[in-house]
Amino acid sequence: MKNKKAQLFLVTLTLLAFTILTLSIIAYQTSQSFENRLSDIASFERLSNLDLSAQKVLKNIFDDKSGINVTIKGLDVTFEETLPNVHAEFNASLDSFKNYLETNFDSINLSIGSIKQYIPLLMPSHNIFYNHSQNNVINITNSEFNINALDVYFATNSTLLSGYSCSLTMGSSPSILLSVSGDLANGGRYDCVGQIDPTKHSLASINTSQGNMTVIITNPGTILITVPNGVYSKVKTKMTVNNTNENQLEVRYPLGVININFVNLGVKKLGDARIA
Amino acid sequence: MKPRFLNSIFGKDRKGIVFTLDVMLGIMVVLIILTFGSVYLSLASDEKLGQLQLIRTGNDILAILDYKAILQSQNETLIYNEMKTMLPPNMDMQILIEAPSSATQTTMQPPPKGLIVSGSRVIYINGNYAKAKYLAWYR
Repeated sequence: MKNKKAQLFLVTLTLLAFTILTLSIIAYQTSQSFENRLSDIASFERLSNLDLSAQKVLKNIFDDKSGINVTIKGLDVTFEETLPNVHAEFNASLDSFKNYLETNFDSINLSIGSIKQYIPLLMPSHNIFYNHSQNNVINITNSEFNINALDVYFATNSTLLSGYSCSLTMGSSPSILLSVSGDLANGGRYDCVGQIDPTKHSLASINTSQGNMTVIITNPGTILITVPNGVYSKVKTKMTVNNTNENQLEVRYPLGVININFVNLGVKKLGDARIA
Repeated sequence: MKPRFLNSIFGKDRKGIVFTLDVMLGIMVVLIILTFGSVYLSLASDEKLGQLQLIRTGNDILAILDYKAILQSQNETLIYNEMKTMLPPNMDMQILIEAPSSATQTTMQPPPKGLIVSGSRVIYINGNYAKAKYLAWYR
C-alpha cells in the first residue's frame, strides 16, 4: 500500500514537472513570437513616418508651386487657379523631390507622371475627379452625381463681345444648380444660372475678343471648363457636394503616388497624399 | 547488511529517501530551467518594448517639430529647446538635419553603450529638401 502511494506521488510530481517544463517552453516560444511582432511594429512605425513625411512634402510642393488653391468649407470645395496652368515650376519641383527621395531613402519611390501631366485631384468620399486634360482645360468627373451645385467664376483681361450662350438642359433628377459668371476687362459681366440635368448636355459660353470661355456638361457626369488659347483667366470652381460623407470630405492625389516596398518585411504600400 | 548511519538517521526503509531525493532533484532541474527561461524572457521583452517606445516617441517628436516648422528653421537652440519640452524625463534625443548645403545637429550626444534607436523623415525647406534624423536613448 505504501509502495503504491509512493509510485502515485512520483508519477504526479513527474507530470507536474513536465507540465511546468512544457508551459515554460510555450511561454518562451510566445515571447519569441512577441519579439518578432515588436520588430515588425517598429519597422511599420518607420515606414509610416517616412510615408507621412513624403505626403507632407508633396502637399508643400502643391501649395507652393501648383498655382491651385484648394479650400474646403462645410460641403463646399473650391478650386482656384489661373488658366492656362503651365505649372513648369511645379513639375521641376516634383522631379527634384523624386530624385532626392529615391536617392536618400531606401524602399520608397514616387510615381509622379500623371501628376505632372494632369494634376489630378480626387475627392475619395464622393468619387469626384478634378484634373487638367490640357493646360487650359479643367476636367471634372462626377460620375456618381454627387454635386448639388456648381459655381464657376471667370475673371479675365479679355473683353466681352456681345454674343454669349447660356443653354441649360433641365430634366429628371438628379439636378445640379449651375452658376457660371464672369468679369471681363471692359466691365462686361456674364451670368448664366439654372438647374441642369447632369446626364444631359448643357453649355455656358462667354464670348470674348480672343475666343469663347466655356463650361460644358457633357456625357453623364463630365464637366469641361475651357479658356481659349491666348487668354489668361482666373477660374474659381466651387462645388457643393451632397452630404453623404461630410466628415470625410478631403482632396487628395490619387492612390499610387507614393510606393513603399520593404523587402525585408515583404511589405508593400501604395500611398497618396492629402492636399486639403 | 545495512549501513548503521542510514538506519540511525532514516530508519530501515530507504525507498523514502531515494524517492525524496529523486523528486527534489527533478524539481530543482525544472526550476532552474524555468528560472533561466523567465529571466531571459523578461530581459529580452523589456528591451524590445523599450525600443518600440523609443522609436514611437522619436518619430512623434520629429513629426511635431516638422509640422510646427521648427525643423525648417535649422536653428539648433530652438530645435533643442522645443524637443526638450516634449521628451519624457527618462529619455534623451539628438536631432540631425542634413540639408544639401548645410547640417544642423543638436548638442546632446548618445551614450557609447546601451540601447539607441534611430529614425528619419524627409522635410521641405523653402523649396529644397532635407533629411531629418534622430537618435533616441534612455538615460
